[in-house]
Amino acid sequence: MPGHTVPMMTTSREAPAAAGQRPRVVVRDLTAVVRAVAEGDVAAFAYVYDRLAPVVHGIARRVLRDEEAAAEVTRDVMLEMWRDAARYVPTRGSVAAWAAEAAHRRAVERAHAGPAPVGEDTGAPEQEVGGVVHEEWAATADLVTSCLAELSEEERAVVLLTYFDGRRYPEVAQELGLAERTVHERLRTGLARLRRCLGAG
Amino acid sequence: MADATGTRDLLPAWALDAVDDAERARVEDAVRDDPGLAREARALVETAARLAAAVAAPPPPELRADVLTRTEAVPQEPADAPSEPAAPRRRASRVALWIAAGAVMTMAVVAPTVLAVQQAGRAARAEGHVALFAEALGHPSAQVFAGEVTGGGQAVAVLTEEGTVFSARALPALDPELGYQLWIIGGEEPVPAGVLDVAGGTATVEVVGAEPTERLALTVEPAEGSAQPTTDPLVVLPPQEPAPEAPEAPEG
Repeated sequence: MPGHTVPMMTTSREAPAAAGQRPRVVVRDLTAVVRAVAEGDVAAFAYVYDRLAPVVHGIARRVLRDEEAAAEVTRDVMLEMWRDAARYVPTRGSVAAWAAEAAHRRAVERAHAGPAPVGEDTGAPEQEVGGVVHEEWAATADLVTSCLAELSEEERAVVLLTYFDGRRYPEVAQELGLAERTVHERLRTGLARLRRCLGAG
Repeated sequence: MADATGTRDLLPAWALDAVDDAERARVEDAVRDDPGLAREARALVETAARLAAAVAAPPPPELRADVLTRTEAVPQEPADAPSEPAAPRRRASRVALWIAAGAVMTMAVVAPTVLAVQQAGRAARAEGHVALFAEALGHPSAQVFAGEVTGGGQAVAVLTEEGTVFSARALPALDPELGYQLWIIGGEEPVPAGVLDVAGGTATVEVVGAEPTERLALTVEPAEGSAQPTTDPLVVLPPQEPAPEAPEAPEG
């Protein structure tokens, strides 16, 4: 990075978007709040709930296509965060990533454990993410949509099917008539593009 | 590490929870053993988290009170014990700051989160420098990041759960009224972590703190140090962009 100016990272303020530029994704630094939660601070935990329960609930609901099942996942994940707050280590990733990963993993496991979701059939991968977006995350939603649009159709299809529809890679391979190797490759390049576009480290 | 290539290929699918339990276990074992893979894994999980945030939706309003009430019935787990049972937490040696041969650490603006003490004795210093890196690199959660320092030089940071070792070499000499200042970026504002007194272009710092160290940055400041950075960072570790593989720890 010689000669490249790296802006100082401000994790709790939104950087103003210059005209024509994408809004920066704000990942609020909840590390200090989680440390308080680890000390048994319920008010701090309520803050974490207010910030992250919508992320947890939203992805669970998208994968499970069931409001009630999603609410159960949300309850379980948020209580897991309460229980394990002292175990959180920032070197493992952001607090938001902890929440999102726990939510998504549980939702996918639950989806595979039960009958097929009764929600709308996803014969073809959705071109847009859609769904109700919590106002706090609206800028992120816009950025993700535009970053997804930059993927090739093939990359986008595998990302949508795996992440948002909760399919495992052999199912995706079968559904799209591809070799598993090809699915992995498209996930790799698709995620790499998303990572750069979203500035996710 | 059996079938390392195959496991690496599963990383994107793993990050999206698109693997089965056996594959998940295999990937997580590999990630535990390989700091480079761990770095990659973390970035992919962060990417996935942003995908989740894009579909955020409010949970049923009654859930909030339900969850908050349940906290009374859910006991909190303590922090993880270190995974190596025998390694003693050598607090005494952690207080010692090992410095590359010839360099003297100036304790400039030191916040409660940073502990830095000069180690005397040239031979001990050189030995200690290597020992510090070896100890940090031996830590199970160690992650290594490297970067070019704008204006000249290279920097390496080894991050462990107990602290970070930061080292820079081939730093160009500055005018006498200026210095290279280290910062911890973890919260709202950068925390000053001391001004490096560089000798032979080299300096090494161990940053140990009560607050988690998210990133370290280096800026040029007045020699006595600043309370807040007045110039853009010359290097930030871990970098905010994909970084090259870390080189060997400097021998300097």
